[in-house]
Amino acid sequence: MRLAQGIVIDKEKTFGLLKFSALRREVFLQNEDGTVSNEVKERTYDLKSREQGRMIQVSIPASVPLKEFDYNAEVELINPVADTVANATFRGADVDWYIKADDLVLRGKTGTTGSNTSKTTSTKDK
Amino acid sequence: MELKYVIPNMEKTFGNLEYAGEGKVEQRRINGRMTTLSRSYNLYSDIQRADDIEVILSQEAGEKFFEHEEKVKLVNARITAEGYKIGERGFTKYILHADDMVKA
Repeated sequence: MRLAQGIVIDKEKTFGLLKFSALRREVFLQNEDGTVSNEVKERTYDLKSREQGRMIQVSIPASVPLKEFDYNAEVELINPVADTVANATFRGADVDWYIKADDLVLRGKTGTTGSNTSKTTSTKDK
Repeated sequence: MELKYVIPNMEKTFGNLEYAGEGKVEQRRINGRMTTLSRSYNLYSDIQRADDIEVILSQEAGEKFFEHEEKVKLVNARITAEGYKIGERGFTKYILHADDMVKA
């Protein structure tokens, strides 16, 4: 099935306790001629997830300033959205999940109180 | 990145679920005897209107009998994803698993 309206995830049950690890990468906007500009589009952070039992990557828009938390600081995602991309391989297709969120804040310090009605966009299959 | 599963907020993702009918039963021959591994059921969702919702219940949940369009709810639902391809393009198929399905 497709779930065309997206999945609204239960962040507590899906990720459990999240701990900050590191900034993974900065994605830069592209100029009109296809070269990479100096303007940051989004930043991806590595977080340790207890429920998933692994490191997860979460992308935060660049309108949010760079987060520099301590290693293992307990953090919380604001309005996380999980979606997938599928890539055809020689015998089938691989699916990768990705997570975007409005903000990343220290746990118990809800900085931006965004509305909790996050909705995923329709599936953007590649 | 890989995720084991995601847990949906059932109310916001699916809204009201109605029973549509039974789907496939997965069976395997174990020690010469056919053993049921899982059963799938089709549901209607008033939010995800594009397809019907296919939920897979493990064999432990037993067989379910509901009236057509009877309101149901799922216990401990989780979503996994699988890929398939058409031509050279890949697409995602979501698979919904649950421990049990009960009357809403």
